[in-house]
Amino acid sequence: MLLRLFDTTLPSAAPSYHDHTDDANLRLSILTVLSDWITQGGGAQDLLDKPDICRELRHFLHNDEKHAVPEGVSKESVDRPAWEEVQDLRKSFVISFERLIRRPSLSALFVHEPGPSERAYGPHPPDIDDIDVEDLLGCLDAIGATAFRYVQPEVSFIRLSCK
Amino acid sequence: MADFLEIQSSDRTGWLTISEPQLLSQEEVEIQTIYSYLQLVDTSSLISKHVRGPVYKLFPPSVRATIRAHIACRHWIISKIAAQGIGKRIRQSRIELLLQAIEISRNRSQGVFVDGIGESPVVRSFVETVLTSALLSPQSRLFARVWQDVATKRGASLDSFETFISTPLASVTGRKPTVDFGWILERMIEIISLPDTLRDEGDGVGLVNFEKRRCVETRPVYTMIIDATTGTSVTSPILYRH
Repeated sequence: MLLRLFDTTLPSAAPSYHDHTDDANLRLSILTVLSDWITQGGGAQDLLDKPDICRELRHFLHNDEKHAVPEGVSKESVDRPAWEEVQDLRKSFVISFERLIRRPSLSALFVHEPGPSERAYGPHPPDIDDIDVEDLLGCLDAIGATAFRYVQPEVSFIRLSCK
Repeated sequence: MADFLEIQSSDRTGWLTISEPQLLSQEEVEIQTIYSYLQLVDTSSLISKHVRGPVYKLFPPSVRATIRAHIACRHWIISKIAAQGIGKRIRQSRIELLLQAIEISRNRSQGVFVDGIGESPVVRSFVETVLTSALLSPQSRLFARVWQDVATKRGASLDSFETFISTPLASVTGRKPTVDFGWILERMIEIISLPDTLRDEGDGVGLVNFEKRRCVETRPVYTMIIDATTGTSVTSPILYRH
């Protein structure tokens, strides 16, 4: 629905006298909602369960044509700052989107005590024939610890109660 | 999340899978874990009449992320055990490495002792679950001759995986490994399965099941859940207090 709403701001869908500032604000709102859902609302995990929507959103975000600034907005136009803001938000959204659908949010990590995640094992899996058993343990444990710490406080486990 | 598990458990057929049993040979049978089972079990109609699909998809994103972490690591380990084009010796040394990792991991978990769970004195760690599940996968079990050699070397029996794991005499120092989230889920379901009230046989009066209440209040599950949400490991002293 949000993506369909976004399409109403495209130049092809809007008459020539259309207010470009309104379009920029609408795009900004849509991208902000989507970004909040992905980065703060756990939407990245929802997308991993629904590959069709994930594919569609990725296609949408990488579609330069859709996100182009309308031709009617010149460099000196008063609307220009709003459109630049939209462009900046889209860029940062693309980066966070690609990062979050790959692994748990690093922002959820916080060091409470010296933990296995303090050591960086790099983005590539180790060579299992050339790895010490301690390193293998540390590497796997770091993944487990990272995922575990991502379990957010708002998860209402404590509601497990006798009636 | 506990609500979902509780409603799913209150459905008499909630934990039954609808898939038809396939005719598989013994070697092809997948040994179920809480992770694989949660992906098979459909959402109970008591939770929603409109939601279809595995119940785990209703869990919070962070919980699903831990399930994904387990699945991803398990697949990686299986790909290393069952890799094509490697010789018998390399495969054997990989299995040996993984068994050693399980031994060390279990040994380091020793301090996390749970009173009342006699059959499992060591709280299962994430690493242990991933490695055990991968080693027991059908893809791994296919290499019977390699397993035979490993069994001979370790003086173990192919009929029991437990015999492959020896307890090192010397205590292995190091950090306590991260607890397996599946273990916590199992304990949650275990507590949920206890009745809320008990009926006295004499006069038919319903009594509060204090055992269940005690479990909720004092069992390490509760403690660990709080630990999990604050980011600390499950080595909290409160675990020993019970």
